[in-house]
Amino acid sequence: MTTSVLTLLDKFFLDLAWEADAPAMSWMPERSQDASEHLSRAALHDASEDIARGLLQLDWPGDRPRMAILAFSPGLDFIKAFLACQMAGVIAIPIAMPRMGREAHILEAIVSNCGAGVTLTSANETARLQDVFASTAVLANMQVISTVHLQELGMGGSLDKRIPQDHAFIQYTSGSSSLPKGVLVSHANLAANLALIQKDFRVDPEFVMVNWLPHYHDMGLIGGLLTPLYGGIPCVSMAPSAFIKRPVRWLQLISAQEEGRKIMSGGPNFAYQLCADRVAEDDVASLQLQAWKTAYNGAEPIRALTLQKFEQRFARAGYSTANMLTCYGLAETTLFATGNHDPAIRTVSIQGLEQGLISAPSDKADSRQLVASGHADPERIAIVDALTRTALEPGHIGEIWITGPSVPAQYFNNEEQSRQTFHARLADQAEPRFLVTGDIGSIVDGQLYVTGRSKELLIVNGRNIYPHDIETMVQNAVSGIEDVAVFSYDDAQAKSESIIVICELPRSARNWFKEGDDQSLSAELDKLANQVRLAVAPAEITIHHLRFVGPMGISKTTSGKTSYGQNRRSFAELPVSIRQRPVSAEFRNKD
Amino acid sequence: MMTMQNADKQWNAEQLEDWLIRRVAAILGQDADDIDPDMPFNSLGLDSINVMDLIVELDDLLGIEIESTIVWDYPTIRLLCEYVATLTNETHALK
Repeated sequence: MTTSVLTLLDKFFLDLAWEADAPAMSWMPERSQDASEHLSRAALHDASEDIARGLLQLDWPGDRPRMAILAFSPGLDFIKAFLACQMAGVIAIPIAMPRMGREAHILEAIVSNCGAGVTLTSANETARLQDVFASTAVLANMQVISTVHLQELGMGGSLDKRIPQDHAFIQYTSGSSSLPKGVLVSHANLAANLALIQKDFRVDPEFVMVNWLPHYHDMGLIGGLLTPLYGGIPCVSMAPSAFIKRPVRWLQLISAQEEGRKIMSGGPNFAYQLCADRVAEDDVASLQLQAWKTAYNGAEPIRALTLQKFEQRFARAGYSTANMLTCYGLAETTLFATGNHDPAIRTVSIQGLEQGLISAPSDKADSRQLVASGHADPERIAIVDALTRTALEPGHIGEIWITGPSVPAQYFNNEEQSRQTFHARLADQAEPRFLVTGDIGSIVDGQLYVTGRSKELLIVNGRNIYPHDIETMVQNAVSGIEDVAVFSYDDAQAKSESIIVICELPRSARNWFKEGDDQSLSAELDKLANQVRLAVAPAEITIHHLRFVGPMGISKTTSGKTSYGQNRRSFAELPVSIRQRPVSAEFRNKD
Repeated sequence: MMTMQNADKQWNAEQLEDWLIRRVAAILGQDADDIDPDMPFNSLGLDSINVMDLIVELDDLLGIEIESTIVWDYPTIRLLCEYVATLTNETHALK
């Protein structure tokens, strides 16, 4: 694949030659007594190059691509290792830090899929990681190497043994743990996506990036770390857990940036909701958010209510929704697909959505607010009818397909899924190839509206029912329910798909559940079940099975989205005698 | 730093453990006797926001700043309290 844009390393070397002492990466500790750390372009380059030389001293098997797993705690070590891999021609595989009490099977599945034999980490984590790996057979032969060791090994060495590599890194997505899907991203894909972000985010040299997202997540890695590196602007990072502990710290770090700098910083919708819910009024008074010119919001459904509440709380600190940049993207497009500032919000008809159309609501009960995810470039984004594989007109809802140089060609070592996902074609066009995102949406007035996941669409008597809508109906009408998950379940014995509703109750509802494994309902839960059925009545659907669970009984992905696949699998694992009942209840059915 | 009224009290690991078990029991709506201090927080039924709230409470109780990331390294009530007790001793030793 060829591209006319500069690669990440090309751009970094140019910026380095231009101004070697300019700040590149900073780390802000969360405790006041700990010092912040700063790396200039030159310091980052020199450390990375030494690690790269060290990497080239290792014995790499000759019959397969060179690759290394990157397992790092939050801090500056990760980005040095990532750049070193790019310099050395080693495919980087960033993962969440394996921890005690965190299940190892996802890591085992990743290693089985990619075959990596080397894991890079920080010096102070080496021993502990070796312990984690030693505990399981699949990982026992893993070589754990600290970047400090590689740096020493590489000093004064050369980069001669480098073999140019088409691919930059593999992003493992939260697919099922038995078949992990690792998006294989080429240098060209990465460069094209970074150039697109630079253009659509309107990144200029006056910006600084403030980042708290995890570096093993596409939005944290490409958005948080590589976007500033590519844009030649400084990046200031803090630990994700520091944000969760005190959300105000994120906004304080934005407020603390040098005067005259513009700030770009963002996260998924929940981050904005968390700030709106939890930042104390006294703290709002001391915030300075006028310079926050790009507040990006993506990676999960964007809610109009969150946008409104966030602006209500922080307008007096200088924040404005005009500076919010709502966006859409996924690991399968490297990261970014669409996005622009000052999001359009549209009130649409729920009935229309069921018929696959974006239309005006007939009355208030029929209305739902949709937040646009940015300008849909017709060269890259198509809305497609899944059955006929033809492009749909604006205003019609269909599968979101994406093409262009940002879109990788495969999941590593997974031909079947690669063909289905990355190599779709319209019925009347041999080229280009498209990515099938698995999301559905529509384009109206040039803006993309994501309305749900195609796989999670419930089709009842020819009507499209969105799980999200049913979930909202239940949450709005029934108090005392923490979370709801609605999905279809295809029982081999049944004639058609069944609709399953799982309601998660707060800990205070513990007494409503019967002791032991008796899954029948107490009087309180019986009453609640009736309220739930009443709540969904307007949607004219039949709930085939309603299940009450305790806290964390609804499985979530690492980014906090409901994992429909996992919930469906958990349901499938229940005994038939329970699944065939109309209702069941179990407090803390799984941990 | 030592602004809270409890901040001058010296806490040992056992006292911290009792305190944390009571707090976890209150959040979970369970009896303190049912809380296993050797079970990882997520297996107890606490999510990451709950755990971080507890760290904030510990900060206030002890008048120190505990790094959020340490809950990944000390993921049970017992391990966390043993570690935090060493932090408070260091702080008092410095006084």
